[in-house]
Amino acid sequence: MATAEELREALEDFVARYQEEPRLKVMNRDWDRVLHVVPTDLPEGRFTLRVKEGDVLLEDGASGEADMVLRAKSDLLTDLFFGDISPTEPYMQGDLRIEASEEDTIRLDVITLMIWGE
Amino acid sequence: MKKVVSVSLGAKSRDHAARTDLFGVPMELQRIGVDGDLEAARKLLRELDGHVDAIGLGGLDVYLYVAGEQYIIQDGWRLMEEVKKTPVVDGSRVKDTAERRAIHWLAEKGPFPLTGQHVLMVSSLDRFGMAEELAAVGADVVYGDLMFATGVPYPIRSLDELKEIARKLAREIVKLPIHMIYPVGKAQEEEPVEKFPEFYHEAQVIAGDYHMMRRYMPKELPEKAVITQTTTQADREFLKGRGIRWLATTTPIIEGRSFATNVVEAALVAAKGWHPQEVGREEIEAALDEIGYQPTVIDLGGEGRQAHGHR
Repeated sequence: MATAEELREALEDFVARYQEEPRLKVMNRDWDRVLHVVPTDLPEGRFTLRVKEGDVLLEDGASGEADMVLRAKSDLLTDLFFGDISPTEPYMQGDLRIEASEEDTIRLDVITLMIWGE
Repeated sequence: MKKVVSVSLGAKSRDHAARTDLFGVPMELQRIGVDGDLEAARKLLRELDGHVDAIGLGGLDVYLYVAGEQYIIQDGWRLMEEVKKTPVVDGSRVKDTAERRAIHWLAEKGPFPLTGQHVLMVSSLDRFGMAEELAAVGADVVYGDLMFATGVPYPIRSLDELKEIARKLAREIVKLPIHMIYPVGKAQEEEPVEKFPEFYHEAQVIAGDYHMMRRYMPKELPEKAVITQTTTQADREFLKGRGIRWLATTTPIIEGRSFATNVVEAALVAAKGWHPQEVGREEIEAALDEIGYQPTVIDLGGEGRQAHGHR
C-alpha cells in the first residue's frame, strides 16, 4: 500500500512529464476533463487532475463532478502515475476501474503512452 | 477440392461463397461474417478446425508489421488460438506485399496522380506497407491513426513521426478490445458520423481501411480518389454517392473475382500445403506474380467503368 504522499509524488511526476511533451498540449486542446484519482485503500489520498486547454493541473481532494474516475489500490495508482506500469493490463484485468466513456478511456491511454511508451 | 473458409468479424451481409481455381488448385471459398460477435467467431472457428484446409481471419488484423516490429492484436490472437489443427492466417503478409505493389503501380500507371498529392490515410498501422510506399512515391500524407482510431485531434505528418508514435503506442493499444479502436460488425453499416472532415476535404486521395474511412466520411467529396481493400457493389454506390471519382482496390482479382487478403493467404497455404509461418515475402511475391497481381481502378464518375493504366 502506498501513502498519500507517494501517490502525490507520482501524480506530480506525471504532470511534469506531461508538460515536457509539447505535443500533448496540442493533442488535448479540445479535451477539457476533470479526473478523480480514488485509491480504494487510502481515503485520505484522493486527488483531482484537471485538463484544460491542453494543460493539466493537480489538485488535492476529489470532490464535485468528474468526467472520469480512476479507482484502484494506492500502490497500483502510484506505479501507474510513475509510469512503472501501463494502464491497459490492469484495466483489462479489472484491477483498475475507469468510470468514463470509452473515448475518454482511450484518450487517457494515449496520454500515458505518449509520456512513457516504448 | 480444397476448402477455405474466411471467418470475419464483419457484417453477415457481406457473406459470399465461390468455387474457383487458385494457384492451380480447385478451391471452394466461403466467407462467413459474425457481425462483430467475438464469441460467435470463437465457436465457428472451433467447429471449422480440422474440417477445412485453411482458415482466414477477416474483419480484423492479428499481426501489425510496423517499421520492422510486429505487434499482435490480442482479440485477434485469442481467435487464432481457438484453431489447433487447421492452418489459420489473417492475410497481413499478403496485404503488406500487395499494397506496396499497388501503390507503386498506381504511382506509375494509375489514372490519378499520387506524387505531390495530399493523401489522407485514415489508418496506417494496419497497413504500414501502403504508408511507407505512399511516402516513397512522394505523396504528402496525413496519417490519421490518432484522429480516427483514438479521437485525438493530431494529424501525423511524417513517416518518422508515425514510426515514433507507433513505438510508443502500438504495443499497448493492441491489448484493447478491438471494438474500441476499429468498427466491427454492425458498426460497419451505421450511418457515417463526420469526424475531422477538414482532412477529408483537404486530401485529393483518401486511403486506408474502407470501414474506417466510411465511418467518418463527409457527405460530399467530389472528384476525390479512394484507395482501399475489397468493396461490394453497395460500397461502390456509397462512394459514388459521396462524389468520389476514382476507386482503387488493392485486393487481388483472381479469375475476375476480388478476394480479401486473408482469403488469398489462406488459399495460398491450402494450395501449397505450407505452414502459415513458412509464408514469407518471397513466396508472396511469387504468388502475386503467378496471378498477375495489380490493383483495380474503377472510374465511379464514368458509370463504374474499370480504368486501365493511363493518365
